Amino acid sequence: MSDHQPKPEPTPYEPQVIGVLAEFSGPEELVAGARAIREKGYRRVEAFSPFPIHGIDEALAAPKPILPWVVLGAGLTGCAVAVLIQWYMNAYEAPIPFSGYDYNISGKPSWSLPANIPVTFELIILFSAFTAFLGMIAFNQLPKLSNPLLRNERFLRATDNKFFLLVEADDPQFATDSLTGAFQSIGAGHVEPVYDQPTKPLPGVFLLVGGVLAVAALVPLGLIAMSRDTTSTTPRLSIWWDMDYQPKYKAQTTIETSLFPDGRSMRLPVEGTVARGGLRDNPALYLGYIPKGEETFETSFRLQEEGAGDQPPESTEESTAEESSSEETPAEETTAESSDESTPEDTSTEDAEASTDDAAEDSTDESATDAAPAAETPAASQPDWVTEFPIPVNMDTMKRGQQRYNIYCSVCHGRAGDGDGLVHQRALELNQLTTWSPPTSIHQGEIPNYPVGRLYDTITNGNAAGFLENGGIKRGRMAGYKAQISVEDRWAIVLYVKALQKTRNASPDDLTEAELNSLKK
Amino acid sequence: MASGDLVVNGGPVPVADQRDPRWVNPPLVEKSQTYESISDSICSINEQEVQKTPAGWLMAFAVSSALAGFLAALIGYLIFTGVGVWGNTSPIFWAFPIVNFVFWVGIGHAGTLISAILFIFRQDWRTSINRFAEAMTIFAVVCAGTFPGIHIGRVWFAYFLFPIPTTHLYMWPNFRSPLLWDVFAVGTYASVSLVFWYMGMIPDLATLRDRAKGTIRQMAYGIASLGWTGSASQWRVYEKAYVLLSALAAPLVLSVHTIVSFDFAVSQLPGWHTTIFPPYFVAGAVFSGFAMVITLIVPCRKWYGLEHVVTMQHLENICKILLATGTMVGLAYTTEFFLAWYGAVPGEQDAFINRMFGLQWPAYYIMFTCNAIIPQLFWIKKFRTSTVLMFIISIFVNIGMWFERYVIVVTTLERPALPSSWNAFSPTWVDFGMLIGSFGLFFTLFLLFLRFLPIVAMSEVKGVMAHEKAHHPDHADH
Repeated sequence: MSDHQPKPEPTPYEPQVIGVLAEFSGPEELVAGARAIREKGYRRVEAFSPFPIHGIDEALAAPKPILPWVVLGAGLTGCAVAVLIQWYMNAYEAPIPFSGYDYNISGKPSWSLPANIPVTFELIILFSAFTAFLGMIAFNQLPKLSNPLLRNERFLRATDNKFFLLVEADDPQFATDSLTGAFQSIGAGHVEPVYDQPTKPLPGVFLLVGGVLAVAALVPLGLIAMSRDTTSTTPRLSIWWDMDYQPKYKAQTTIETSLFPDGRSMRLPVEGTVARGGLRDNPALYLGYIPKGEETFETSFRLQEEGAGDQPPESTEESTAEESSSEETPAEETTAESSDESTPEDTSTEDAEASTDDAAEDSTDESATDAAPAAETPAASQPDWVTEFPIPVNMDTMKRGQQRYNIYCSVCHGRAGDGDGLVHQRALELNQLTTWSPPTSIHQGEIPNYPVGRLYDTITNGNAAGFLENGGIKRGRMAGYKAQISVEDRWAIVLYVKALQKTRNASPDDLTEAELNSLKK
Repeated sequence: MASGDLVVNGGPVPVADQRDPRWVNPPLVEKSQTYESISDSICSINEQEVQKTPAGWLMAFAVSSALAGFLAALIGYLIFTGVGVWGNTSPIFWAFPIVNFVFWVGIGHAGTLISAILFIFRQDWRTSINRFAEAMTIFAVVCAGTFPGIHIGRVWFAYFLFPIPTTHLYMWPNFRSPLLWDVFAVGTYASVSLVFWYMGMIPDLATLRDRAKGTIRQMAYGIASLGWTGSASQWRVYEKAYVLLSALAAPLVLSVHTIVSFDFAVSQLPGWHTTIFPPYFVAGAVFSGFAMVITLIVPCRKWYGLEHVVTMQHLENICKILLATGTMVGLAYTTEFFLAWYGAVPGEQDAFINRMFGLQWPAYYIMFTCNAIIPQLFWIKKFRTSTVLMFIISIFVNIGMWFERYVIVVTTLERPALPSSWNAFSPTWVDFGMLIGSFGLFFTLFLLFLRFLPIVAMSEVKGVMAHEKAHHPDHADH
């Protein structure tokens, strides 16, 4: 190995000396040497060693690193960022893009610090640790891959087992010869000047390839952004089906590829069988009327089932019903009226006293609707309403009926049955009289005279009584409650309704002698 | 350079040397080593020519990379078929993936613990094994991260885990969920451990660079070492950064398994909803991590002839830590039963009776025997000083700690509050395949590390050696 730095290239480039390098045999010699060379007045001294050496910083009079303060700042930043993002994302809502939202978990407060501690802690550590690492890189001016020192054969031992001092060329006292003498006088081993290298510019092809790659890397991102913002008529390519397409048959559908030859996705009940719990062998109880003529039990059963099948008009609940009746076409009018069994039938079968009907607003409308279905419906098919309760009538049933009535009926009909329930009051408050058809009072008109079977049928299938108002078509909007209320409970409600009606026209004759006496006291 | 050249430097006298002057610290580096011989013995492992790669390494690599490939294939099968390929079933939705996750995260605790906590406590013996353990940490966390990643089912939506502002999704994570805390804790732990590991390696990568002969080696190690020269001003900032990272990583280690335990403890299931979980999990993690250190270092030390760097002293210290943490874990097992009895909550008591006598009773006894009883053998010095015996015990501990997580996850989930929901868990071949495959992934990464990176922190060992020789010159010369 030569004592001189091999001259890099035979170009006219004149290497500049960057410092004088002196080798020492061990850590202690290095510290002593550093102290001695500083005592000789040199200020730009740097030491190199394979491991950190205690005392070298004092010997070189090096300043303390400010890294800890930077890390402290990063830790505080991490804390603030963590608290802020958690508050912003889970507890703050504003009409701005990328707004957070109030994250309601079981009604707990949306902002509660204890639950936010773990993430805050982790972000403090994350920010501080990365700052410590990146700060180390930055303060040491790394990465610095090209360094003239690393071209010195001897210097390469600095990461193995050798110790070096370097006095840099920008030291005010720097002079290669006197410095070499100074190093030798303080016991350094090998001493030599170090020269810099001509810097070779990066070949243009690297820049070109790098530029092309950088642009190419943006292409996928651009495509993603474009596809997010544009619409397309072709369906998207589904690599994974997620839950958009599932190999399954939906209920109540027919598909060509069904498992079954008839194409239905579901099976019909086996002929002549009744599902468990589906036996409706007591029409008085289940229908509220006795089917007439050739109607056997089976046909009544089927009536019941098919009634359950074509529910759509019935299942319109109050919220949807509020929308659209004024737009209904006349064609729908007739269907609405003909599907309504109760109104015509009872006026014809019950009694002719119905000269003043319950629709207090307009009695002529009511009579008009009476006439039309009555003509369509043959008298023979009119129901034979049940007049006796098919369930035991006692105080327990009454109490049950009261409770169910207050739950299901009172919201519209009111607790006393006057048609002034809270929903009605709210509708008045909102000025919805044009679209809102008020609930019927159970005490008005013929209703107190309805047989119990008819009341049961109304609760079961709803009241679709149609009537005309201001030239438009309105329908009674009570939906059937058979999905919500069990058969026995419906009868219990009927019982309670009967009791409520009784409160308006009871006479002393209705009571037994003993009850009368007890009241007289 | 002869080792006798070293004399006392001007450093501060450590506390350990203010003890009874008759006390002699056992040497941390055996035989008469010089700085150069340390570099030689460590770097020669990496400097072997490609053609002369040891057959043992090649065989081990073939096996482990085949298993890792098997894992990748199974993950592909899982993604394209669905999570039904696992044994996971209602209500045991966590099962193997989460068991494996907790197992691997636990193993990942020893590395940073050794590096950070032992560094802060100035336990100089850590220098010989910390690089090893840190590498083990990184690779274990890689394995750990895989499992929750695929357990989410639709992996292409994994970005839902992170708070990414989007207009099309408009969805933020729930910061009150321990599962989200987990994302932050494991993510922070993985990245900080990686930084810590890499920063510790920079001076040693520079050593490899300066010794390298071929251009490819020079360039690779040159880029990786960022141009490190070992100047005093670099060391000054480096040491400060290292202390800071240690001080930050120490509470981080403790927090990670604490937060993993919150996944269980914050829920309200009997057997999970206990305040003992955080300390119990952390002790278990340190326990399993140190066991894995033994499992890895005993054969490596033998194959690579590192007996002079990783001395019996180091191994005995690790065994003592295993004994201590194993006893803590055993204490936690019994405390859980005590609390169930003393708490007088029937559901909680049932959960623990079920744990011991229920469907999974064999898992419970494997766990208790391997973790609480077998490590007690380390009270006997012969077990602490025989590499074969400690290796065998470490294998038992690894098995036991996997079963611990299995017991915790599966026994509780099999028995929810509603008896109609009770179910029995049975793993599928995919479950077992993925567990084995994760070991393949771990050992693949570890073998690559052994081959290409400095496996012992040379600069730190040299520093300790200089210090030791300066203070005990009599040791330096025998």
